[in-house]
Amino acid sequence: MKFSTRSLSNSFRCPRPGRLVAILFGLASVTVGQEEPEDAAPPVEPDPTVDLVSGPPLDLDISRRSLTNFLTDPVALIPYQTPSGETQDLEEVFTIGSVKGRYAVFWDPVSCRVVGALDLVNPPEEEEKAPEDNERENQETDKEHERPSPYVLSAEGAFPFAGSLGAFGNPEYFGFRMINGKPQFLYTHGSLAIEERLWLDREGKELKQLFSVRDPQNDVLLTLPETWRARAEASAGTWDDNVLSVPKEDASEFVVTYRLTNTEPDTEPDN
Amino acid sequence: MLLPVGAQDARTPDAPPVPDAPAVDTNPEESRPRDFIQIEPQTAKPSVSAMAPIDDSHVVFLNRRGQIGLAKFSPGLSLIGWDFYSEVKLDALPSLALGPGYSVIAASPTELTQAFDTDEDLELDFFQALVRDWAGREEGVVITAGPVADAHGRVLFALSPFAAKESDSSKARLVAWHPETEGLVTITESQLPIDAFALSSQGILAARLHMPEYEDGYYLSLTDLPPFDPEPPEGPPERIPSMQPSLLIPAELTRGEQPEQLSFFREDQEEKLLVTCPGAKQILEILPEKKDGVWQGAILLRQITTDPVETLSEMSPGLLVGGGDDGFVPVRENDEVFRISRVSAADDGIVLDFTRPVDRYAAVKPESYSVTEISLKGGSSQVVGLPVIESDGKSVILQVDDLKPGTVLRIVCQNVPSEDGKRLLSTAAFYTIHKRDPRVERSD
Repeated sequence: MKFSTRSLSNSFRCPRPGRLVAILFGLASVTVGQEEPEDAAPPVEPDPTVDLVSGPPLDLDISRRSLTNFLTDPVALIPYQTPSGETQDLEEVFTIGSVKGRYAVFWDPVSCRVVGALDLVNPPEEEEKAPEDNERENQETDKEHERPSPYVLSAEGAFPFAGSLGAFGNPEYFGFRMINGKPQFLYTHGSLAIEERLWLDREGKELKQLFSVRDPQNDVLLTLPETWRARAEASAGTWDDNVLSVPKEDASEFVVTYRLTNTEPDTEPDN
Repeated sequence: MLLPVGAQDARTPDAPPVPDAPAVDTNPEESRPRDFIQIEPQTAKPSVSAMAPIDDSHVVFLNRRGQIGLAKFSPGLSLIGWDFYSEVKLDALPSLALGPGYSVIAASPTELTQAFDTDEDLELDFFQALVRDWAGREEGVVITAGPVADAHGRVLFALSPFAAKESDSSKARLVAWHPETEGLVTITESQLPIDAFALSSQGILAARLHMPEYEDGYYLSLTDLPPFDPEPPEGPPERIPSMQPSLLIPAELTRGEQPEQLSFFREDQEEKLLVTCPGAKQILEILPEKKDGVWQGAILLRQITTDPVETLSEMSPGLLVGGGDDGFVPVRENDEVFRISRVSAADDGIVLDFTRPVDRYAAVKPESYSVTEISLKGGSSQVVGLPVIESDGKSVILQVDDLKPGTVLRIVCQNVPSEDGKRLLSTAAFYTIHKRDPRVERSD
């Protein structure tokens, strides 16, 4: 049983603006609907996002939303400032969360970076307080405004790859792919073509960030906000303070893992 | 349940162009059929805020949460089944357009996005940001309506008002994106923001213009879509066509509720424009009429629905399916309903057409009607018409001496039942008569 397509008569060809980027990302070689023998099973590649220890990651809920700009770092806010100096909201950021997870992560296509991670349950500092501390704090209602930020991660500093050779100007978002339920963001930063896949692991207590830099000519430098460094581990490269230097041989695939809880996973009681 | 899967010739967003192919793909032969697969039935109803028909029995739709879905209908437009085409929730405006290879184009305030099912597993997996930059973007100019695909392969969308230079007045723009053209091309401009627009198969562009502080009605612009030139413009055009309010949808007809979406469809060999008013559970019908180069026409109440209908889609000529918070509903006219089906001007007066024969005893009395001429410059006056009933009983001519151009006629048939005693769906109907464009030769 088949149907023909009336509406597709007003279709159009491949979009030109993204073509160069498409080639960089290898999308131009993909042909939808190529005829293949029916018995030719597609090769199964291992999913690099499945942790053999912790099992498959959480099912993600992905939506695009406009949020009040919660960034406070003046350098991180530069991409959001209008010519008149006003700070724009975060428009249509990707919100990545899970029904079972406690944290939601925000990825912004303007600055092409993770701009924050929000604790949906409690402000991060509260979870470690003793009950008597909480009672005392409840009495101090006039100090409501002094509560710690619910954002366990908040972007600071310049664009993450700004320190790499070949990265110049502002990053340019091109689109995203969904791979096994995880978003993979595609963007360029100068001559660097970058794919960035995000997902939540270990019951949502970890954020994983799989980077693929296409054909880099040099080692790449990934600069994290200083406050993120204590939470981060990388599968490749070496750290110099908060700067991860990844050899160009490893830049095609490396993972940065962020602990979202305020305590080490092994010592945190389950709740 | 059956839904389409796979594409036999679909292109990726970046597949190389075919050398011998025309610059613009208007050849339907290139879109070959897809196979169907079986999916599990489900009883849940999706919310539907926008639709785009694939063929006579399938639509892509957008739900309230910004997810894109696919739905299949029987020949009688009963819903057979639906499924999500994407789990990702977009911040999408209530409009969808189709691209090649069963791709779907959506717009959010800051991005025009085209989504593809590249691996043919019935799920959109690649979302390309087609357009994220335009004049005034940094100053807060956003997409307010669209996308709509036209017959030339362009994708049209509306941008909020912006003045390129300080000396210019701020204008909203309807722009076109085309894969073969660098940048956006401005199609028309408007002093008022564009809240929604639709395009007919004959190239009529209807736009609902935003005027929040005006409570008596809602402005609608009717213009001709300017001809498409595939060659990129060498410079800005000398004059960009402007969208002016053509008709005022009276708040009286919408019970004060905001009209939402516009949909063209063909019925009785003519193009009509339907306007959804979900807040009032009403569907209005506009009969566009070009007279001496100026668009005018009648505004009528067509239907009162059981549930609010947000969006309409013409599945085949004259066959409509509606969508709203309570899922899909076939929207067909009830032959039993007695309503005014047309208002037009004739040499000897105003012609009122009805869906059923009128009660001749009541309809022949002048006091059964009241006609008000509302000047577009302000002020109004009463007009007395002498009713003459046509032989079939379904048309009444209100004979008046002269109809002034530049007026809106408000015609109320306060005592005109049908011959079998039915009351009118709405006793009021509206007809706008513009002054003729002096640049256009008279057609009569």
